Amino acid sequence: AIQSSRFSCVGFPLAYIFLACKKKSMALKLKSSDNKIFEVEELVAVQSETIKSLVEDGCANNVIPLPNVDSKTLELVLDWCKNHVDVKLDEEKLKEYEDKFIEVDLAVLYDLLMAANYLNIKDLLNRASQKVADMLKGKKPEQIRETFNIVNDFSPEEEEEIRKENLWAFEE
Amino acid sequence: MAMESRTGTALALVPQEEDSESQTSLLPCGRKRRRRTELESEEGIKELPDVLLMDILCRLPYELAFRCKSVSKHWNSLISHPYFVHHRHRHCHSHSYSDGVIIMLASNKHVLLTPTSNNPGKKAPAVINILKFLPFPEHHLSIYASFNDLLLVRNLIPLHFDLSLEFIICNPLTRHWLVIPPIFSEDYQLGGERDILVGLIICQQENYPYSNRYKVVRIHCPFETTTTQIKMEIFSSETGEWCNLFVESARVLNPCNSISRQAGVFPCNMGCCIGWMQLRNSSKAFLSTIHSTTLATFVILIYP
Repeated sequence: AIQSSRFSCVGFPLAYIFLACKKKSMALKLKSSDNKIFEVEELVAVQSETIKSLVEDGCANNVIPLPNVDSKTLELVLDWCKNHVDVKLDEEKLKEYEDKFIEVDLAVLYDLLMAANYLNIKDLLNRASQKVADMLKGKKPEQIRETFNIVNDFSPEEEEEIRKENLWAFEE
Repeated sequence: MAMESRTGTALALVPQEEDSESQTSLLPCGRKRRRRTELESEEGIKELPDVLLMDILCRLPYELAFRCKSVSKHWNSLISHPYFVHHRHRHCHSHSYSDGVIIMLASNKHVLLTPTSNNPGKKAPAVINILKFLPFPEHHLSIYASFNDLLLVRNLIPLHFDLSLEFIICNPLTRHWLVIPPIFSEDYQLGGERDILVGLIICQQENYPYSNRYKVVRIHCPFETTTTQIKMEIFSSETGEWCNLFVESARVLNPCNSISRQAGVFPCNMGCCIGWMQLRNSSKAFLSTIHSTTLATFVILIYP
């Protein structure tokens, strides 16, 4: 059974604490898009603002369906949440964990971005966006198109025009 | 909304204040949220919703972001959108980036863009003519003042040379512009223009630092040796009119015979203030509060 022992946190609404007192063990059930059920401690799950507002509204008693997140991504996301709820983890270790966590290929990164956006997990969204931005750095427009699978829909003239306008940025 | 101000009529140079929910609709190219089936195809970054893509692009250094304009039409429209500039400012602010661009007025219509990163092997700053998007003859234009990303440009019409106090507010990054109505003051005198300092102030709001409200300020320099009063004319974007303001000084002001080019109107960080400074002789300066809200800390240097 999961102990709800971490209620020393301040800032939770009264209703929430009241609810927590009534039920000793608070576990939420999340259902991924491929119908897998994940049972997580509430404190872990409420790092998602989306889930948090569901809990606050009292809509989290049954299984919470997350139709936009598949089980593979949800597992990763919950792992992130678990590691960010633990206050014992010092900053250095957390950074180490985050760096390792985010070293994924573009497809997974993309899923993480979408999930973090949907679940509204700010720090994960921030970290994933930064990762993509870092991937863009040092790349030429042609390389960016290749990496991210973007079709160049400019005519050669249009592209030349934009290059000219932003010539200062193209000089190495 | 702001996209229409190309015609020079709309007052919205920067996005209107809005809550975070409506910000998504601001983005150009009106991409609809993709259906789930499309999401599953492994197309990478292209299929990201605009809000997320915008957030990623905002994290790029300015040079790279501008280079990314040539990736595709969609990226170009995102990076050219007013929201990009404002979101980026906010982003840099909250993440205390050292990277940014300082805009310096190098000459009448040329602007010096310098990346603020301290990279010794960096190229010389680029001097670009940023006013060429304005539909006026280039040799009639000169930049008078700048604040954040807005420039105050004066358009000298040779036909009625001296009366044409025509000012243009423009944002060279988003290419929006509008004309400020001319001013005809009672004590107008021929050639008197050179004794007037002109400045631009953006009126900040506490929870929305990138306001679309601004004021154009003209300060008449004192001539008499006994005066304690300075006349200012202020154009407010809220009223759309010029109004006069007289500022009393606690002590007699030094008359100002010739204004050096170093003098100017500067927004200061004590509420929304303006100051007039003569840097060669720093004893001549005054401050005047015209609005009492806080200012952002974005740097704009005015180069002589």
